Amino acid sequence: MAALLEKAYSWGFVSGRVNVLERGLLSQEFYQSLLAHQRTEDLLRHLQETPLRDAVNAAGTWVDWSAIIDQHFYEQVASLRKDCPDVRLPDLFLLQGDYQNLKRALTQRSVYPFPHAVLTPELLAAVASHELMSVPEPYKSVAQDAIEQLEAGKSVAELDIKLDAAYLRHLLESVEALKVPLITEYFEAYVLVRAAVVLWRSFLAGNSLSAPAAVLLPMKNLTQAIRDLVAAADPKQWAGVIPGKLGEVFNAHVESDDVDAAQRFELGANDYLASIARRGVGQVFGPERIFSYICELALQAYNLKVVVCGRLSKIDADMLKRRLRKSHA
Amino acid sequence: MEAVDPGSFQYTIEIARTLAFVGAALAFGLGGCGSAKGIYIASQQAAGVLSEKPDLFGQLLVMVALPGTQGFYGFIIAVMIAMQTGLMNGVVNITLSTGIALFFIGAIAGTVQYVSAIFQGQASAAGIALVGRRPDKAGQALLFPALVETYAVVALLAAILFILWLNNPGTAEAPSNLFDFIGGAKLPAQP
Repeated sequence: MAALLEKAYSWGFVSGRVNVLERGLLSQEFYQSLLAHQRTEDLLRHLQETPLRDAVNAAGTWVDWSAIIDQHFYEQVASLRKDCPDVRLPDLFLLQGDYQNLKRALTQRSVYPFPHAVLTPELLAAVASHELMSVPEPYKSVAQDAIEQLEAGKSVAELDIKLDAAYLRHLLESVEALKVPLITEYFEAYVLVRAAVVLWRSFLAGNSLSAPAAVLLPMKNLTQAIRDLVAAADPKQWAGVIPGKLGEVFNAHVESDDVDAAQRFELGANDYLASIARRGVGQVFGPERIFSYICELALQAYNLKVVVCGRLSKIDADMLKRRLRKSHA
Repeated sequence: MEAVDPGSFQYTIEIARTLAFVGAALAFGLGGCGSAKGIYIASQQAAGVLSEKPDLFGQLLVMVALPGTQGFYGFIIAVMIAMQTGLMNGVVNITLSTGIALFFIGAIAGTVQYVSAIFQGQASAAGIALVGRRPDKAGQALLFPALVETYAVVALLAAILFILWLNNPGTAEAPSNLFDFIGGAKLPAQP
């Protein structure tokens, strides 16, 4: 207990920063008011009330906005990363960029546009030239394995799935090392949702579940749960396998047979994940506090992309409203 | 009650003095450590808030300084204990029972100061977090850590009163302390 408290104290500075930064998060009402604009000029004028105000004059197309919102998210997380006593926490949100860049390096694409945590452009260039000496673990093993697969004639699609599974495994390894129950609960649910969606889509496409399962397994503490999903085969039988509240979310979506059911489950599960993350807001200081803020920041980036890119692409406001995730800001 | 021999008496005085000084050391040591830790906890949070909003310095300074009072309370208790032992007059001359009593007063009051300073630091950090989110609540945010101070003050007052009450020598019929009552060491008659 004493050790835990000592550990929490060291998060005091970054927690203090988060208390102030949190005031800048956009509320659900703000997204609704953005959606209400009919004209692009009005939408952009309204965006000047957001942290994206500097970019308003520079950007015009939805592609730009998506990149700008991602960049803003990355800058915020990278700024917090500098003050975090344990960088594994902010890295949980940046790992995805590392793996996307790694995929590009392995397929010999020389531009690495995704924000990175550990894999700098120099390390990615080393991966591209198959010189893995300087690449840190677990990226090194993943890259080594992928290079062997590509040399054996496997497709890029197979490499994609392999790297996605490696990313999920990396997340679980990181949360295991962090030893923060709230973050562990969040990411175990997150990985289980991703695994379930992959298997569900495979099922809907009429494919065997054993092929994606072979890539996903082993998956740390979730190995047995994923095996149970595969053994049950039909998603309608998964109700008993997916535990707790997440199981309830799953049950609410599994009955419909349409192809969007998996996507709707993913959206519903994201709301459930946000509710887990929200529990950290009550902490005065500690990793949970930072984690909750970054989750809310990620949610803000997602909602902004839906609203801004959607409206600029003239997508119906009601449809976009349904895709918005619930913000607690 | 018969007087004990001077050698044994001197030995008892040494023990009593040591106990009283350990009590004094615990009072200022625990109070000081608690204050340092409390300020560390509050200042970490305050520094984070100030890095984003430097204009809140004035509102946060008081909350950071609040856990510092326990260190002073511990110091006051230590001085009171030293006065009671006779150190201020250059002659340390107390009974064993007084030494034990002073030890416990110092240790317990010091512990209260230590614990309350840490909790006050945490309460201050929570208040600072509130000010970071809502600067208009600075006045209310200050009240909560100030409430923790109450118990540090109660411990200080209790320690002062108990030390003062130890001055009462009592009588043979109504001895002032337990060791006198069960026939402990007594001062030999002065020549």
